Amino acid sequence: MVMNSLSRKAFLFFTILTLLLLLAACGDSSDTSSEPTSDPETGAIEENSEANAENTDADTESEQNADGNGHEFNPDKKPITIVAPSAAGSGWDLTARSLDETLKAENLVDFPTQVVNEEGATGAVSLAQLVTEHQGSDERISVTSLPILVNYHMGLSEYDYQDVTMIARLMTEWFVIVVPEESPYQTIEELLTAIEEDPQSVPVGASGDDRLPLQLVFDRFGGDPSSINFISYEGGGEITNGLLNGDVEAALTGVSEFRSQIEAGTLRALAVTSEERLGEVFSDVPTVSEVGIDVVFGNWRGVMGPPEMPEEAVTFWEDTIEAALETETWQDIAAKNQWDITFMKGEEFLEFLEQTDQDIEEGLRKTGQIE
Amino acid sequence: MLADLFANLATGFGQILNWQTLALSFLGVTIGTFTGVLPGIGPITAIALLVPLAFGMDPINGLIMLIGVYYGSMYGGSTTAILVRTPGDIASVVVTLDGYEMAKQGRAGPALATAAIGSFVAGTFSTIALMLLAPTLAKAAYHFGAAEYCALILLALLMVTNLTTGSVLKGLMTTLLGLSIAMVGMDLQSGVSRFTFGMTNLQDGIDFVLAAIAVFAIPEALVQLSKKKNSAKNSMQQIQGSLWMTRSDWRRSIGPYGRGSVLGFLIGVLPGIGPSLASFMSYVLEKRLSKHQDQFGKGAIEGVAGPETANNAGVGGALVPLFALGIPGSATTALLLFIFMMYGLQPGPQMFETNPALLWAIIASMYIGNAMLLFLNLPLVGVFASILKIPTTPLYIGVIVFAVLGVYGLSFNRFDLIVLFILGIVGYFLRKNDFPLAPFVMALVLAPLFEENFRRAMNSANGNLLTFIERPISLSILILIVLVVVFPPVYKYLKNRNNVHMDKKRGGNVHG
Repeated sequence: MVMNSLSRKAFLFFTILTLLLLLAACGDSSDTSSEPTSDPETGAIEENSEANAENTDADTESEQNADGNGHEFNPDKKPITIVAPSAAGSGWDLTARSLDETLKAENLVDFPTQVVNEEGATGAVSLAQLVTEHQGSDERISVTSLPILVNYHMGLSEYDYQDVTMIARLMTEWFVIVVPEESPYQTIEELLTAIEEDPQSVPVGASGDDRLPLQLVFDRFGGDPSSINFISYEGGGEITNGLLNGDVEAALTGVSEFRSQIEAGTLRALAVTSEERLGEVFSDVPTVSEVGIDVVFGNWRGVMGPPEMPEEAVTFWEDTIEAALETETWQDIAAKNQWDITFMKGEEFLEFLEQTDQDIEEGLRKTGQIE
Repeated sequence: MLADLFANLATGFGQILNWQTLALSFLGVTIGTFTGVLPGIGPITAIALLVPLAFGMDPINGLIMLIGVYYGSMYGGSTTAILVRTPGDIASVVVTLDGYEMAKQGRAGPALATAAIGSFVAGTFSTIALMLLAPTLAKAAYHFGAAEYCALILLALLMVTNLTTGSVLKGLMTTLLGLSIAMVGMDLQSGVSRFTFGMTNLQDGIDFVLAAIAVFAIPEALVQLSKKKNSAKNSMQQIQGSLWMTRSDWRRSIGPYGRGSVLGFLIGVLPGIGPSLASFMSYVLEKRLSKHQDQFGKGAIEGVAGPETANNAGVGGALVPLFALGIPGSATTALLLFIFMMYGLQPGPQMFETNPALLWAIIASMYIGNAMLLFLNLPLVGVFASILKIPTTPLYIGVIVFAVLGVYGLSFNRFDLIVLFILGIVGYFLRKNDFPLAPFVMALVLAPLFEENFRRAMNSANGNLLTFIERPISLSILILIVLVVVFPPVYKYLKNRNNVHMDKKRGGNVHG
């Protein structure tokens, strides 16, 4: 009786809602392996089946799935999750989506992949889940970067890069120090001198975890890094706004964030923290080492897997990522975002991490952020 | 100048008037509407899901579809707020106040209809404003620094108790609860963790979308489900009268549409603030201006029309800094910025010169998309309203299910579900004792914004408090605070005291 009185329309509505939610769940968490009938997913699934066909043609690609011991990675074509440990639209998210996009566009994998955003505590929440809940799994990889090292030393994360399987470094994004168009500071030295004379009057904008490069620069310049009047923002957009409305006198962040403003002339780049000068709009911008400050500091981004990730999975991703970075799709994305492709894997990557980790600990200690 | 504008717009329409683009625009706004309806699932999730599909298309089609999802999702946000007291997003928290009351009185139809029409008015208004004012307004936002943000948010904070109808004291208590819970998490300026008890999961504080769902959906479901069988039948909200708005509904909605559009657009232009503040300010504004003040909180249609309009106008506003400056003001616009860049486009100061064709196509598509949304949403009013014919038990079990799914979808973290139920149960007891919960959520949203901007303003001005008075815009807002918030109660108090005084005198005279 109750069911009869139930409006058909309402029932229809709930069915639609449920379907929609299922669709959302499909894209977001796991099951793309279900029948390729649901609409927006079709494109992706077709692409994957094309990938299948090509892989059987070209045996070089199918060999890629096997490691030295003949174990094959993901023979059941399970969907693989690429975790972005932060909100959609953030730097990690862009990296994860660019990688996902490259894998699909270049037919590098013969299984479905999807990006999932696990935001929280600059990646520490996602890292904790990776370590405690996915140990030994080969079904997910995650984007990671500098904060994994910083968080641990600052006591913001229980886990360290050594608690997971570090797979490869993809790129380095260098930092740039900028001032607004009408600022009196024409060179990095002028800016640093002004900070030295009266740190309070030169507020500097930075994202919470991006202070270190300027602190190191200022330290080598001879100033006291803990005296800089930093104002924290949640990202490049807010910082740009702060520069334009006069809340901060200068700012630093990854080069991609300020690119369009520098191009338009509303912001002026004083220096970059790379080893050599960068291209395009940054070609006239000196490196800090050019002006005698011996600092090279970039935010590397890489890919990690859960602890005790099976060897064939690690090998597969090392090779696939290496191949992905050479494709036109990735080169194109990298150029647009000013990402410097600096691939590294295995021993070399681990040594790099160890060295960077020491540098960061030393940097944090020097700047009084840890004891 | 105006001729140029029409020529540009005509070119824009020329580019999109083909069945493929129109179909994709329709797909975008439809998906947007449904994601808006689902609590917790916002435009950002839907856009992120469609990104791989969009990259297979050319930039115009892809961007038109994704931006369609963005403004489409603003349409549905108030649906569950009106029907089952579950805000789909923060902006519709205030819609629960009068929208749900209207539904309880059998007027779910007019509430949903006014929300849809208000959304359409706002969408169209903000598209026009975006087209005409983007470069000018984006520059004007330069004058809005941390001090101004801080003053504006202070104004909002001081008005939070306007969201209550009952005891002001209880409203203040839940406001304070919201302020204290807002303190949980890592302090952005110093990196110090506060009240996290060493838990990584608490480092980012309590997500306010989660909090809104927790204190509205869960308590409402518990209240409804714990009613006795017999009374449950009585509480079923039958739809009475017309589904459509009456003449008086129209008359009372038109003012809020206009004011909500302007207010929402202007607040939307400010990066980092978001539509929640716009819808909240619009509610307070309508309450103050209305001739039916006593009906607010008891089903005043202005309390639905205004906030819902303001919320939607915010989208056009948020696109201003994105298109004109390349500055994303929110997580959703940051994702859109990334999508532009993936197509090799760089939104920013030069976009109007380097790529006008695309920009005008997008603007043209927003006119058409908004019209599509109106025709999509008006028939849906009847469909959505008939949800209330579902018996209480399955309906509210459904609400809990969707609340859990929505919250889990925020960051795929089970810890969030624990918080959901703890806050939900706390919310249940507060509700049982007539504590208003909207001030709690608004305080939770506003407190971190206030704190961050206050500290930025202080750092920037070298610790000088006078900065708030020395800056003209900030000073104007402070004067407004004095006039609107401080003056009325003081005046009332003085008047009362005078009256008492007079009465005493008079009484004395009589006695004597």
